[in-house]
Amino acid sequence: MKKKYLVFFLLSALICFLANFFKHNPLLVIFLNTLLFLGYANLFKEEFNFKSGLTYLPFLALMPIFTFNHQSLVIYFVEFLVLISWYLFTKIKKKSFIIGLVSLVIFLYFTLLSSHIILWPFKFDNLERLIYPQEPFQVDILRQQKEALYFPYQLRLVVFSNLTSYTYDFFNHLLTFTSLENLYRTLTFVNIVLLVLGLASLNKLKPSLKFLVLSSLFIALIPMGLIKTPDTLTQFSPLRGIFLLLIINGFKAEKLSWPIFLSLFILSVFLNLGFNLW
Amino acid sequence: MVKKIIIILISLATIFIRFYHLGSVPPHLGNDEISIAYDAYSIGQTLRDEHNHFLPISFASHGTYKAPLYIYFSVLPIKFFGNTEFAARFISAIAGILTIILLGFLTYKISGNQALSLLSSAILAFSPWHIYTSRIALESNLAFFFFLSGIYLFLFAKEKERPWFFLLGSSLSFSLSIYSYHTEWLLSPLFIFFLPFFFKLKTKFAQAFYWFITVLLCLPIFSDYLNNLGTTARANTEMIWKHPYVYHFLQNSSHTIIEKFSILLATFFSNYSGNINPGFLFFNGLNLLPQKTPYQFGLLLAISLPFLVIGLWSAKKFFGQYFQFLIFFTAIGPFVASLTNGGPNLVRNLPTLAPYSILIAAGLISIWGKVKTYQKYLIIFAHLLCLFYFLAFYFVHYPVYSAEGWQYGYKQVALLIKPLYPKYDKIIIDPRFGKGNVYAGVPHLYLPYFTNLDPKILLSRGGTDALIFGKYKIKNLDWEIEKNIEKNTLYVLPEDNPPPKDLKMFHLLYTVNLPSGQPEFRIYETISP
Repeated sequence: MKKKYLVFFLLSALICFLANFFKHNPLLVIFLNTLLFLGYANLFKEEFNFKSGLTYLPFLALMPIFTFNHQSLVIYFVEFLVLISWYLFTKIKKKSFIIGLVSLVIFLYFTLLSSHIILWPFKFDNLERLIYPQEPFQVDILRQQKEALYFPYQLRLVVFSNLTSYTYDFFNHLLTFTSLENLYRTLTFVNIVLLVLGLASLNKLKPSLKFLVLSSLFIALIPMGLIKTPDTLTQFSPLRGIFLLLIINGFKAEKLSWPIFLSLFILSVFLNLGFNLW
Repeated sequence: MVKKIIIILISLATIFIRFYHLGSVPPHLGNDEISIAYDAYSIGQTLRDEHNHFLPISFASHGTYKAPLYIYFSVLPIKFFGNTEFAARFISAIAGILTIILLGFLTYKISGNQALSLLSSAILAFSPWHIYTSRIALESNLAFFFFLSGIYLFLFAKEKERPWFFLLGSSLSFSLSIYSYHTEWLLSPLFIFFLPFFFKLKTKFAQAFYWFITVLLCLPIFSDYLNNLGTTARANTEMIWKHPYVYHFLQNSSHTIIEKFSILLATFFSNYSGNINPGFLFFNGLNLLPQKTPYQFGLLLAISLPFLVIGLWSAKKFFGQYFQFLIFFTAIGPFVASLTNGGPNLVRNLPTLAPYSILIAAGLISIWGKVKTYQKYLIIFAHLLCLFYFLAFYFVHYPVYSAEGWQYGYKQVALLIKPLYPKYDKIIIDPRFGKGNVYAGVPHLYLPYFTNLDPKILLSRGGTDALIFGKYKIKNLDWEIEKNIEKNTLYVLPEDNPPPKDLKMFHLLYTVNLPSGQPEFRIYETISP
């Protein structure tokens, strides 16, 4: 069994390496991305322990998200810290609450750093990228407080307030960003289907992994709603480990027959080609 | 008893929302609406459209070649109510109300659950998407009704040993949807083809009969399409292979078939993704206000989002054998809209509103039994608040913000000109409007419609550098080259193209303002200097 793992892991590493190479990433980034891919795959290796589980691992190495370049060694460093904290959280049973909390904090920091909301180490210089504040909004909020006479004045101050307006705008940005196309550009089409199946089978994961998935998704979604014009791979990159886990969980659910899977895979290839031609 | 009261209240609210200020919200007939209204008026008087075609199957309009049914249906309301916005929108409002009732019956047919069917009707009735589309003269809204009735009647046919009546009804309904709007040219045949596979008819002959009758009923419009390729003008320009970049890519012989297929597939996928984007559906799809404001609205109430997700999750237990069809409907709904350019589109994607309403209702019913009483009240309150908020913006702010986009001003100009028509020799109109005169209107339709001008006058129009009919002359006025300023003439000018100050002949009669108070048009008379 260990030999089988080794073979598939090495094969996947090679594929990840080549995918990064053909994307013209610098050598160091190729190496780091490959190492991260192996790190996440190894972290969740028990999830591959089912019939034909490992056969899909090399395909996962082709996901665009594993060829993403953070453009900063510091961010890579923090991502490795996240990976290590997740290892500790899933392997050490004692004091798992504290380790879990620490890993959450590290992941939050990593998310804010990779989204460029903060700069290393704690500089908040990029706040103009956020949805708050926006001058046109302030003008409209004040206008509605004056003009919306169908609400009593006190209620107007609540309904047309910064809190409600920006909360709405946050969800507007978040949901507009988490589109099928953006997920496609991150994962490819067949993996989106597997991701959805993996989310549907979330309860089949161990409690520690389930906690990682839910907390990471929650934290990583926040910048997507906060940033005015988020970049697809940048925003989804903190979740690459989680996506890997969910996709393999979806694969494990075995709800896709091989013909459908292969059809989706071929479709993904054509779509990938099509998007590259645009 | 309580249920009956709730049904009556919902019904009254539905009718009220669709008819309240139907003529003034939206604030003016838009480009497509006036084309429909005028053609209906012209057909009612002369049996000819504005381009002098006798009882056409396709209406040339502004080169958009509209499907005919809405226009023909509007002839009677316009004769009865007069040349008003209300008359033009009447058919859409009625079709909207009938669709709500029909969806209830359809949901009951596929679920057997009375509460679910009532709730799905209510969701549809109070969705911003359906309220918006039911209150404008929209062919898509009429097509939606016939499309749903085609499905509904088919579901009866599948149970019968002698299904001919229901098959004929379904076939006729789908055909009428094809005569109503272009989206259904592709969507209805898809459903006509796939429905017998989801729900097998008792005999293969019945299936063949169904397809045969539908083809027969659609022959006139499709043969018109083939004989007059100009009718595809709208379809041609709107399809994804006509996108400038895609078009040139496809024309380029250096690209392989696989590359050409891939780029079309990617474009389609991108459009499909846009049409089902949750942000578009729940937060920003309905452009009531300018994009930069924080007050955007989705096509569905934002509060419905979690219930749609729950509904998708729990649909199987409600719909049994119909579950797969419902998922097919949800997935295929945006298909045709995704084949067109211009981004996510609430008009072309309208049929998808039906399965969304059903699934949201399923989500609500699913959760209803599991929540505490105070949570139920909270859910109801949240829905009512979202609905009230939308209605307040729609009826109060939207007419003010959006007036220019609806070409506001032309009706007002027409009503001002009407009593003056006999007094002047000519009425010259510059059709542009907006800041910097960026927009081009269609005053040649608004003016005859709102002044009840004899359609025969427009039918005999002429002119080379201007459109001339009756006393009207419509042309872009460039004051640098406009030398012959005629006396005893009315000039209708956009705000950003006033007559030069040195021309003393112009005397301002009226200013037509937008609801915001901003001037849009000015009417001048020319007098002796």
